[in-house]
Amino acid sequence: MKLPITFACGVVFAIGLGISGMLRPEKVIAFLELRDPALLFVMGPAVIIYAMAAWERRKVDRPIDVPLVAGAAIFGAGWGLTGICPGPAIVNLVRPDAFFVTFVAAMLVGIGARALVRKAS
Amino acid sequence: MNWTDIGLASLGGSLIGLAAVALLVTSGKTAGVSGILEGALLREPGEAGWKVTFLAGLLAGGLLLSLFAPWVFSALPPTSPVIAIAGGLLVGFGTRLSGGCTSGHGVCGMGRLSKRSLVAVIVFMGVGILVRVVL
Repeated sequence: MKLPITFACGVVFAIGLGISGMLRPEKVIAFLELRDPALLFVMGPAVIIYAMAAWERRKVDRPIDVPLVAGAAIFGAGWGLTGICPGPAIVNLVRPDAFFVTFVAAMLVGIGARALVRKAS
Repeated sequence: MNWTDIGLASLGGSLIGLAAVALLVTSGKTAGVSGILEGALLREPGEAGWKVTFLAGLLAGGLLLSLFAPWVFSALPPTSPVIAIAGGLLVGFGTRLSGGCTSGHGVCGMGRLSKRSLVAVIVFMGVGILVRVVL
């Protein structure tokens, strides 16, 4: 059964986020204000480790298109505004904090809105 | 930023990479949190099960951190509900329009040497920096 391993992957992923400092929005904001390069030292090892394992699984990329770039820009605006991306948002839910609960509720609405737009188009 | 910060950042990043690799190798799935959230939210057939399981793991990891390493969380998280709502909407809609977030594009996509993911990362980091400079 794979699900216990999947569960463990989530646990380790969350602990990695915690140790790296990425659960703290002020740390991400400091990176985006070019005051703290820590995020580079988080992404660097993560990408290198993933690249070693995924080498055999490279896929032919779809072309770069407008939704990719526009979506990334919209995400970047929200990320810059708050210093929060989806992973840390979820992990922070374990704390009784209205900000993160509100953020995640709004994020789910955003995800649902995108799905509705896709269905309609 | 000192050597301890760099060490912790690298250790944390390595754990994130290892978790993503373990998911890829054992299930062939991509550890992209925004896509996992979408699949769980919309009860995507055949996918929702592992996605809900991964999310439960994230929360369990968070609980462990809050018990044994509470300092990894912010002492003073931001408070404005307007910012929380605006930020959440933008992050939710934008990541799904783009097909990934910091984990899906930033770690897994870049790790696959995907040009799409590289472009997405440059754009969301660039816009994030721009927003901070303007604010």
